Amino acid sequence: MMRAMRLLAVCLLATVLGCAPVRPYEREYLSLRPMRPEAEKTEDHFRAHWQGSREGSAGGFGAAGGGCGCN
Amino acid sequence: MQLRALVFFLFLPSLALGDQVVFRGNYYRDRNTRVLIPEVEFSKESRSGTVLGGHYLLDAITSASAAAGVVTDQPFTELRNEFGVSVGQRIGPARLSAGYAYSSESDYWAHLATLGVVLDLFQHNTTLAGSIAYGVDYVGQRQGAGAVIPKGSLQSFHAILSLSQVLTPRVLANLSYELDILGFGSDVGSVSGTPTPNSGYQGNPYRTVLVAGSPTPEAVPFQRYRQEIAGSLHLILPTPLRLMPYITFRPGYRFYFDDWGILSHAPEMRSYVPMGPVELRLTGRYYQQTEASFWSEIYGKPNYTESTGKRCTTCYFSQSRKSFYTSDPKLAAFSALYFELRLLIDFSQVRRRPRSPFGKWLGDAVLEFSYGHYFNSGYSHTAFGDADIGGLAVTLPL
Repeated sequence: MMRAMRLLAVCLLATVLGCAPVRPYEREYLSLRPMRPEAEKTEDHFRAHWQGSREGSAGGFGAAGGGCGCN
Repeated sequence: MQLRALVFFLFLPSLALGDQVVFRGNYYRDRNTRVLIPEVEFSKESRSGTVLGGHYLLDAITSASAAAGVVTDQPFTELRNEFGVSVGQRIGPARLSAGYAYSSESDYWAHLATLGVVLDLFQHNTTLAGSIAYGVDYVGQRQGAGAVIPKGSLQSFHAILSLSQVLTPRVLANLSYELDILGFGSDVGSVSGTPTPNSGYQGNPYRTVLVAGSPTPEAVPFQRYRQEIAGSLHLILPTPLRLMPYITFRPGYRFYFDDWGILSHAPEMRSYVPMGPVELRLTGRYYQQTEASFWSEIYGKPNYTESTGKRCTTCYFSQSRKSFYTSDPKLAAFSALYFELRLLIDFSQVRRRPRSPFGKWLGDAVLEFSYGHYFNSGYSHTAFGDADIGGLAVTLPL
């Protein structure tokens, strides 16, 4: 378990540090609806609702958003 | 179910929906239950960076019985009201938020308070978010017309950490971890509902199970530690076609485990295909889970031959000294498949018509229709059958 956590931490760090920043003028595609994690929040809420009544697991919907940079 | 609904809604209060209001009608139907869920949700940000949000929904539940797996059916119809409010404030790259939600039905009342923070870093390329929540639920059991006997309450703590990272101009990655602790306080180590059901009631008061041949109210552990790790990618592939300028894929995966012995895998794929003002989305999801460590099944149905039930051999704390029994289909091993088609109509073309009185306003509106079918196996299928899920939503700018 500790090994898996360490591997996850390394991957996470590499993901964050290994990317060249995307400039605002390069965000044409990132601003589209399918690329915005929060765009389907209300719908995902309903899915979590009925899936929670059918399945023994729950959660995992906590995407932080971002990408668009429209604000 | 009520708690989970509240948790989800308030765990993301700091995510900007944009200045909009969403009217949504949801429909769910399986062999025993039909649910109609009208809901409305809004979000509005002021020039000073204050974000106000709120939602209201109504669950109109018509069911053959109060709990799946009961020995005798008692048809019933019930309404559940839920509302939530949230307020957030931008401070530099951070956004702080707080929220509260309340859910009420004739035999279940739930409160949830949430605090959250979102950090926008590296020119919006990295978004870190964290939320914590505390909930208190009160559970009762209906006894005839209007009478409800208190059965217990449930305290819960929830925490989510998540990261969204822009990898390239066409790829975005999300990663999240969630911890839920259900049931804590002075009664740790007790069986839910006995001897004092004050902080960890997680059973269903209507559900019974065969224990040594006799129908017996279920008894599940007082405490549950649930953990989830989820990840997804958003990939967009431009095409040379004018009618379909791009295709988007959103593969995702969620790994879940808890100390009741349930472990699940849930890979999912969403594909988005725009065709002019219409966008088609096809979703496919596979789900598989193991059974709880105290689950017992004979000839495909929950049944306990020992009069004491079974021990929770996976529970982190002292519950393992006790014995439990349940017929909750959600605690059995099973697998499931879900397919869904969504049609989304974008009214942005209306904006180009200068004579339209509502052109500019309606130009940001979106109309959605969706239909999905859920297939599953094992005792879960015996108890629930498959399910049909539908949705109709209108999103309007504020």
